[in-house]
Amino acid sequence: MILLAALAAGLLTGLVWARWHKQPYRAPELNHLWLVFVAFLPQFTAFYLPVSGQSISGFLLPLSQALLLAFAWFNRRLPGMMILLIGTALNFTVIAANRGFMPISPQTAGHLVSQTVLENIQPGDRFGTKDILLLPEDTRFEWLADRFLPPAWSAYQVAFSLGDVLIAFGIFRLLAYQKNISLQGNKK
Amino acid sequence: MFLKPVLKPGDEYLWRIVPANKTSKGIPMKNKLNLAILSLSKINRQHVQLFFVVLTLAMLVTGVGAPEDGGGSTH
Repeated sequence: MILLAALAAGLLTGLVWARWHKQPYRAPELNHLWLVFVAFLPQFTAFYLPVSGQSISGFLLPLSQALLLAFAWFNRRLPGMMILLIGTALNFTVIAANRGFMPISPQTAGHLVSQTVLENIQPGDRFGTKDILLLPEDTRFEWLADRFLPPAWSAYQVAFSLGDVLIAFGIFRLLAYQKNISLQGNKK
Repeated sequence: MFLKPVLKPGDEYLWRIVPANKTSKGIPMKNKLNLAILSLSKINRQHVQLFFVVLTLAMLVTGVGAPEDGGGSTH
């Protein structure tokens, strides 16, 4: 949800920026679009179709992320894509190193669900869509896991990783940047 | 006795006395229609292209990101 919000914010910024300078909005010129659709299939199978177990899902998520990583690599020359690529690589690393899921600690998960719900989830079990509940001492690359939370006063609570932060910045930059308009507002 | 010419719809009299490249009134209706269709098709193509780019990027960030909101529950 926060990543889609970053995408919407970047698109809106780009549209307003282009309109302000009386230029048409230019979408980023992406290559190998088909790769994203192909890469999304394993995740769709793993998380939205009740046909696969935890072991298969734990294989499909890294596979999907590896393909998406390749897509980001092919488009790395676009502004913002390198930030997104690094964020993707960080998420891929921690997911691949922890049974194919994004680890989340019981302490962080306790901010997202009630204590009653949390007591029914054992360490090593799936938590949500892509996460796995793991104790910090059992987590590899714990600093890359879902460990950040919004301020306590925020009504919407979500756990996110360092990779997610970079992906949000990257997607915002990618859609907000207009290559035909300089910072001074003149057409190059 | 004067005979006044009466212009009927479809007459091409005006196009002969007003050069086509001087004023907008000089552009035949058929060309106007073609221009309108051309600009409309261009806008549509750009919109469709933007739609697919945004859809692709939405799938990309949904796929590579792993923020967990606990099923959307808040407290």
